[in-house]
Amino acid sequence: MAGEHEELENAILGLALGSAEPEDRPRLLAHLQACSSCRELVGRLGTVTAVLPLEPDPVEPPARLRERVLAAVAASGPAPAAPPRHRQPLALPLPRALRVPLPGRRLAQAAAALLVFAIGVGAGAAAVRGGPLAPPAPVPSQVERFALRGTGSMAGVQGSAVYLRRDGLTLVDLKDMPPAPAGRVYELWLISDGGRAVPAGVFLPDAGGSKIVLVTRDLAGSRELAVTVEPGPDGSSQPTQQPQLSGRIA
Amino acid sequence: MTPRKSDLSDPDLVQALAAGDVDAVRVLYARYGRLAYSLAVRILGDPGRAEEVVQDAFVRVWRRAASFDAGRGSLRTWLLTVVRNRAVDYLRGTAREWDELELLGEVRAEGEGSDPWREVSQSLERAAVRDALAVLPLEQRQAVELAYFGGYSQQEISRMVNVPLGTIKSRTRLALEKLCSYLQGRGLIDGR
Repeated sequence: MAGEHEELENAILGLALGSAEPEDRPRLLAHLQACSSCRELVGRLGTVTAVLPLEPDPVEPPARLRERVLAAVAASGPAPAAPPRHRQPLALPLPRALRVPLPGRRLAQAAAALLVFAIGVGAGAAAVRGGPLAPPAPVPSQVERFALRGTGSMAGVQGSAVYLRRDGLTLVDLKDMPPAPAGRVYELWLISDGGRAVPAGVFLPDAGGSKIVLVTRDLAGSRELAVTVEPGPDGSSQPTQQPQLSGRIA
Repeated sequence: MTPRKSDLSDPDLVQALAAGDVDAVRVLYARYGRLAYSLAVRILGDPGRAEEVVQDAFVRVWRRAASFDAGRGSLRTWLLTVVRNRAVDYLRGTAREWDELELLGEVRAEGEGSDPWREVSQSLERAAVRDALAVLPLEQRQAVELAYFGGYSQQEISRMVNVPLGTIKSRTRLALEKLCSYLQGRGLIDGR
C-alpha cells in the first residue's frame, strides 16, 4: 500500500508539471481530492511550476502582436458569464489604438476597425447585457463578412471571416473544428481567380475546436478561402487534398 | 479619484476582464505580454508560432476571466500556464482539454508588486529560477525541463533517456524538492 501511494505521489507531480498522461489525469485528480498528504505535496512542490515560466531569456515581442491580440479578443466577442456585480459597459478603446506609430499603425487601425465591427455585430447581445452601446456601423465597402462551409468531417464546422478591404487583413473565426489527425495541421489557403492556391498559415484549433486565424495577406485577387489538412508542423506549399472547408470571398 | 487602468492590481484587472472591459486586455498585455511571448519562444523555438500561442492564450484568459478566483491564485501564473499548455500542444501536435484553473489553488506563487518594480522584480525572479535550476544535477534538471518545457510524460521521458520509469519519477520529485527549498530560501515562493 505504501509503495502504491508513493507511486501515486510521484505521478501526481507530473500533474503539477502539466505532463501527466491524459488517461491518468482523472485517476490522479480523484486521488488528489481524497488524499490530504498529496494535496499538501502538490501545494508545496507545485509552487515551483508557477515560477518555472520565468526562466526563459526575455524576448521582445513584435509590435504587431499587441494589435493582433486585441483584434482576436475583439473578434471573440464579450467575455461570457461575468458575475453581475462586476458588469460594466463594454469599453470602446479606439482612439489610443489609432495613435500608435508606424509600422504598427496599419495593424492598429485594423484592430480598431475590427473592434468596431465586432462590437457592432454583438450590439444585440450587449443590449441584453444592459450596455449602453451605440457603435457606428462599419462601412460596408471596407468591411466584408462571409461564411465558410464544411463538408465531410468538417460538415459541422462554423466558419466566418471578416475582411478589412482597406487594410488587407482578414480574421477567420472557426468553431467546432474536429481535432487535426496526429502529426497533421490545418492549413488555410487563398485560391486565386486562376485557381492557384497560396498558403495563408497553418493552425491547430484549441481543445474546444475553436480558432481565430489572422490572415495578413490581402484577399484582393482571391475568390475563395479554403482549409485542408496537411503534414505538421509546417504544412505544405501546395494543398495535398481537396478542401473540406471553404468560403467564397464576397 | 478613479485609478488608471494601468494602476489596477492583478485581482482588480481580473474583475475588469470579467466585466468585458477590452482596455483591461491592453493592460494585461502591457504587463505580461513579453513574459508570455518569451515563454512561448522558449518552448517552440519559432517566433511565428509563439505569436499564435500568445494570441490564443490572451483570448482564453479573456473568455474565462469570470471563472478565475483571484483569491486562489495569481493572474500571472494562470496566464503563463495557459501559454505553456498551448505551446506544448503546438509542439506536440495535440489539442488536449487543459483546465488551467484546476490546480491553480495549489500552485500559487506571487511576484507582482507595483509597476515601477515589476521589471526589476521579474529580472530578479528569473535569476533566482536559473540559479536554482543550475545547481541541480544534470539528470534532475533534464527530467524537470523535459516535463515542463517539452510536455513529455514521465513514461515518455523514461523511454527517451532509457532509464526506468521509477527512476524518472524519483528524479522529478528530488528536483522539485530541491528547487522548492532553494526558491523558498531566496524568498521567491512561500514556505509552507
